[in-house]
Amino acid sequence: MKKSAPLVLGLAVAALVAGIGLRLLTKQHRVSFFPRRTPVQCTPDNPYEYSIDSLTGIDPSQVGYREAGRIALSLKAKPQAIAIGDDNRLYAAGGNEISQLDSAGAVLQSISVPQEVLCLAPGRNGKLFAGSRNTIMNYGSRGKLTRQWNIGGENTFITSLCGDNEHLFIADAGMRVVWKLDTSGRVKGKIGMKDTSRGIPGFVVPSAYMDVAMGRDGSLWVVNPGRHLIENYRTNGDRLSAWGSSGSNIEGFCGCCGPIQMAMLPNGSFVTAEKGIVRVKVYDPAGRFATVVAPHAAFNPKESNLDLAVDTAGTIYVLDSYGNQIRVFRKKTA
Amino acid sequence: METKSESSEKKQPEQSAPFNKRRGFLKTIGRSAALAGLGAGLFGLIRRPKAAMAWQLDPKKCVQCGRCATECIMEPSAVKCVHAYEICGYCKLCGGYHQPNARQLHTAAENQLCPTGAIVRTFIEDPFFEYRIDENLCNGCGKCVAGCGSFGNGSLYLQVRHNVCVNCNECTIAVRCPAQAFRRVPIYAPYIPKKKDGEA
Repeated sequence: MKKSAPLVLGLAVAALVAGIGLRLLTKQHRVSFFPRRTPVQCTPDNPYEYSIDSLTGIDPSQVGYREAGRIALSLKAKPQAIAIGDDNRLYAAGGNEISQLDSAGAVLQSISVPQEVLCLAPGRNGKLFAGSRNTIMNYGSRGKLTRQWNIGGENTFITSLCGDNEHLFIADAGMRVVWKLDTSGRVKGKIGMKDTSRGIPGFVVPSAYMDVAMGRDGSLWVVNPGRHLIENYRTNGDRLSAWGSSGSNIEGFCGCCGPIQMAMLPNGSFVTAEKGIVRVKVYDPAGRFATVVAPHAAFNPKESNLDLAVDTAGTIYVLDSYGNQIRVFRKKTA
Repeated sequence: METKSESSEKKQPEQSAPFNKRRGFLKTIGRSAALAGLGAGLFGLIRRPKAAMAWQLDPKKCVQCGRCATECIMEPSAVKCVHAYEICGYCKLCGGYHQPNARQLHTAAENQLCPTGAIVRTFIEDPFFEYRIDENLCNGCGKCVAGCGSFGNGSLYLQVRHNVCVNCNECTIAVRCPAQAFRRVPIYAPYIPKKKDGEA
């Protein structure tokens, strides 16, 4: 036994050295005992190809706006939201940062935010409301956080904010409801919950897109994306009307949920944005299709975060998150 | 009279031979075990055992090229569409079920996107519908996956179904996949499921 011990030990060391050497060799020279072929170049023919090319084309005569400029954003994170105040101050948010910009895109003020911002709503006198997942943050005109409060429940996912002098309305895509808060942050009611006795069908929100905006008459407009409707509510929760239709045609809202964003023009018309077929359109105050602002070809086809803002002159600002910029569109003149 | 210690001293030489034998036996066992371990380690260093791995398709890399339907040796393909229900919006207008230009949102064949009619649509309550894949009909073409990703939440995705796959040494789809989305995965975790946050 004792005589064989060095032999066994020597064999073991030799096996170990051989194993490590072989491994290093195969790794260095990319040799495998079971070689895999590199992928071959395939012909582009796909008998099962899914194409929406035939649906994305738009007659140029239907485009009533021209691109007047682009404002590059210098946010550290991917931009998520834009907004314009009554004084036409432009805000953009991404990650934990909000930038206040002038019309040329120069940063006037940069605000560091404790939570990731998903939506913005300018208030009066330079105040600003920012919404994150389940938190509303109120900033003063100098960018100082003045108030912050949580709303909703475990599933709350705030996607949009708007307000009048007395109330703040918060679209909660997770809970499928619009929260009504007073200026001190107290919950004063919920709008849009399914109630057949009041003729309210309820919000259908397949993915986290749900927008709210105040109308000129002080009523509330809410996107019901799963039903492809834009619904009008009194601030007490009564449902007044709704318009919209599903479809890939130019008049309809495409995809599982649409429109994904909405803004109001000074004349009461609606600006809408869609994903899938990425396009921005204008509908008149009665909900009839009016014109195209920007067609599918103007954006990255995967763009799904076209936040909208409108200034007092009716200029439309569209967030192009893939391009990290704001696109400015003005109505074509005859 | 003999003391106990004296008797044990006398017995010791008799016990030494079997004791040494046992020690030698244990040494041999130990050396053999060490050699076996070394051998196993050596084999593992070179290549993990083939039987412990399986082919799978990474949904994050998949480009829905259609080759899963045309290149697999199985007929129909071992690649099937699967559904992440927690991601699905249960939409009435489903991008994976309906043709993008469907005129009516019902189950008529002309409105359906799937070339084999493998998606079963079931009404739940207005306006929600459940979509289930009939794997006997699905050929893994990925057309519905492209539609769902373009217009919906991306809850439909392709996976190699291991009750159909014969785990070829060299998968014919993997060779032809333009996105290099196929890879070997451990047999104890043979699927790459999509998660709610969109991360595969």
